[in-house]
Amino acid sequence: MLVINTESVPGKEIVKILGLVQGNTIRAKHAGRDFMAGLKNIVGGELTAYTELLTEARREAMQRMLNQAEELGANAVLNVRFTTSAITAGAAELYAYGTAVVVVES
Amino acid sequence: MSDFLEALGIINFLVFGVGLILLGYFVGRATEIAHLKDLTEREAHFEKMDLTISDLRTLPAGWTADEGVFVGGQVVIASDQFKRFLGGLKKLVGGQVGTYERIMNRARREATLRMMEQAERKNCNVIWCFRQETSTVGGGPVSRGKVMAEVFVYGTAYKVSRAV
Repeated sequence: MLVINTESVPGKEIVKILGLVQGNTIRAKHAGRDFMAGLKNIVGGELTAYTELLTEARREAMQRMLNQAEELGANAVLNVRFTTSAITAGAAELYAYGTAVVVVES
Repeated sequence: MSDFLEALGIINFLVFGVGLILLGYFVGRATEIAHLKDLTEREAHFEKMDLTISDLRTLPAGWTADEGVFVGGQVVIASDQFKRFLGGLKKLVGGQVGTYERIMNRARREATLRMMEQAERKNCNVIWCFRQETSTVGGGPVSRGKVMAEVFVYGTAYKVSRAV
């Protein structure tokens, strides 16, 4: 499965547009991590635990999007976009969307 | 006197703690089921219509369209007390919060349907350049810790005659 965030694929031609595919996930950090992050706030710097958490969550959202694309019979997802939002204190939503298409060598 | 205060405290806890969670569970569940049913019905209507949504910016070559019109849909949704209770528990251990995912998906489907209905009223058959924004509403002393989010989706609707 080809996943890119441009509108067209060089050297390939879109033969069918299957429509929007999307995936989301909401992750909460656990209390321990929250505490460590609180400590980190004193000295500053990267919050590695949160970076990992969000990376993993974004991957999950993308995987759900890819599953949808697969169900539609697509071989590529174009123009992929991500949005992130804090749903409540300590929980974030990661959302990925794109257009599922069928491409062939041109 | 202290017995009385203690009893008052227990009553307070039962009514405002457990009571609100139970109320949230029953009312929240009923509205969720009704909403999901409504969403499914409205989505079924669009499945028959063949309305294509895409987040690509340009229409494929070979499609002829009119000038296009802006369409959008938005919704602000809140979680109920029971889901908030579950979400709060989940926050102790971290990980995926399924109850909140369901709320956000409901909000997104509702907003998307409102956008699609607008496109339908304008006799359009594709929505291009789809974008989505989510934002948290509130954050004041009353809404602190509560889940209240806005989902806004938008795009450009076209009337196209398809060559492909």
